[in-house]
Amino acid sequence: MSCGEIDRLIVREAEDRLGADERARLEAHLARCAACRAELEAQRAVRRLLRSRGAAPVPAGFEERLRARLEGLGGVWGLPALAWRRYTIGVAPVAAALVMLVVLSLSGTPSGASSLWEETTASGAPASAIVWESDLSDEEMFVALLRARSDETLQEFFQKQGQ
Amino acid sequence: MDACLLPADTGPWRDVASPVGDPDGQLVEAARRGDREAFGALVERHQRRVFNLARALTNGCDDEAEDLAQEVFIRAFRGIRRFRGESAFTTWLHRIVVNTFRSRQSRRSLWARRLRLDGDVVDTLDLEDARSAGTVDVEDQFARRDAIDRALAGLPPDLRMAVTLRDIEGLEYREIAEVTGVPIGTVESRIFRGRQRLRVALAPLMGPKS
Repeated sequence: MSCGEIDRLIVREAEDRLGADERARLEAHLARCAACRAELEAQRAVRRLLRSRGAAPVPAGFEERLRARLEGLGGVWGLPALAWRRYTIGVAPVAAALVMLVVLSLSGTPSGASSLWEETTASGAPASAIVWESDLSDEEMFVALLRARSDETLQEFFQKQGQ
Repeated sequence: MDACLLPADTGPWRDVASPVGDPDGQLVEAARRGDREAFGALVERHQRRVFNLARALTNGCDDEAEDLAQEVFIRAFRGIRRFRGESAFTTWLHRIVVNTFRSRQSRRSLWARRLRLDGDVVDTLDLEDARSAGTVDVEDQFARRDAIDRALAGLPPDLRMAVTLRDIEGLEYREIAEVTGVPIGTVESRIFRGRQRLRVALAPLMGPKS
């Protein structure tokens, strides 16, 4: 057995974790390898020293400072912290729609229905596909994003709108 | 919040390990229902463990250790509702320590790579060799602990984590493997190499035979 393979046995022996068979193999190697004998003693010494480290006292005021930070998590804009995620999930799509509206306005997207729009609504694509239809007018897209449900198609959505 | 820093066993409560088997079970269950006093009791019970683990990982610096320890408890507070109890609370807490430490190391390394000294990019500020314990009054408990923590700070993060969890925190190999996400064989290898490097740095504390 090479010294490289012995390393794991040394680690286990340093902590008295070796089984009988493994100990026999290790002892046979150690009998002829001074370097590994020295390594085993060094591993034991380092472990003994580390275990003697003792625990440092927690700094005075640790709990108070932590409590202050936890109470500071009471919420964003007054919302309970645990509810924040629920609100962001609800608000994010509307925020995204508003951002897109601004971008499209700045880019000068033409108004009016297009053949692509007609094809999209006829194909039964889900309402969430609205955001990818760049030929929509700003008004069409904004209204659709605010009102559409993720589980209805564009066709269903506009049928509801009476279009 | 960084969801990736929460251990994998966060999800719907399954009442598997708590409250009977886990000594923290009842407090954890109350904390999950939003009882802040219960969470406070958990902090009181585990702050010394978490702080000392943080201190051993952060060069024995009390300020940095407190910062790391507080970050651990804040993440635990935010995530405790999703703790499922499939492992002991302490195991879950140890995982948060590991993940938080790794996250801070990543941020530090990223920042270090952006530093430029005389036009050269510095890859890392981490030392490759354990810093020597220097001249230490071995009879002085505080001095010895500081010297040990300084020596640990010189280890690469993975070796430092493995040695600290085993020889200072006293975790079993199976648990170290679980919280660090590597096989037991890798844990053993890291501990072996970590102690090997520490042998030099801690020589002044170990006497003439070492």
